[in-house]
Amino acid sequence: METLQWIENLAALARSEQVPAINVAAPRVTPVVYRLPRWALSVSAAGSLAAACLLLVMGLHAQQSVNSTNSAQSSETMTVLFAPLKMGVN
Amino acid sequence: MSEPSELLLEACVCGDQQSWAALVKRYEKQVARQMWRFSRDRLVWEELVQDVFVELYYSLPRYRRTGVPFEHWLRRIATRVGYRHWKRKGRERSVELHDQWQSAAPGPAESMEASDAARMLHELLAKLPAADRLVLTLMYFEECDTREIAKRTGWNRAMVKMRLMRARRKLKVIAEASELPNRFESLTHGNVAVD
Repeated sequence: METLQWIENLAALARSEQVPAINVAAPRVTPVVYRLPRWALSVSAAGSLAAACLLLVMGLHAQQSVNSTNSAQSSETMTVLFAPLKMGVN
Repeated sequence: MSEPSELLLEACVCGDQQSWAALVKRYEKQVARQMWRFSRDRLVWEELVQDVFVELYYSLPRYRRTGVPFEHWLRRIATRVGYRHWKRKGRERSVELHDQWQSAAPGPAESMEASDAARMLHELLAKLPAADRLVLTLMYFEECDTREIAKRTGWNRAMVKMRLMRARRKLKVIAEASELPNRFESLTHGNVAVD
């Protein structure tokens, strides 16, 4: 019982600790291009769920920055979403 | 702290960098304080704080449909990020307690400062499995009751109560094995010096 009391008292003291100062750079919100082949959009309504999954999977594997849009092929359509990029701490 | 406006959140979701920076600035201290309980390694800590904000950003569109106060939502995210970090890292059984404490002479004369107490408790808790460590960290450092712990972790209250009971028992064994309660006996009677 004494040990548990000791831990409680240790915690009470620990809670009054001053946490070091931090200056967080906000993760930069950068447009990200998710590429999706045109044929994926032409599927019927029943296929829309599959298209959404495809968008997600392809988005994860084939995301590129806006800078690369110039090299996009005409057979692809693009969806621009925003995603934060970690920037480190000042 | 008042709730961030709907307009500010909407602007963040739409990619407005300034609004997003304002939101981060507003909550960085709160998040930093919470994440300090998950890692006292400065680099890891800063990384965790960033991870919380990245996860917050992705969850903003969902948040607006929940009706939960923003700070509560943010605390849940921070808890999730911290817990994931511990699970990834595994248990730190091999972590030895700081030399400074091991060499302290037993007796009532030993007192300590808040930062030392926080580090000692952090190191003792690090020897527990991640789930036990989480419930005790929330209880000891954040003064959460079982209802709040259940909210933050997403576990039900019965499970939280059971975990707390088992985790405290394990921590007691760890603390006794370390002999720290004997070395810093003054803490047993609440005779502590606050910074």
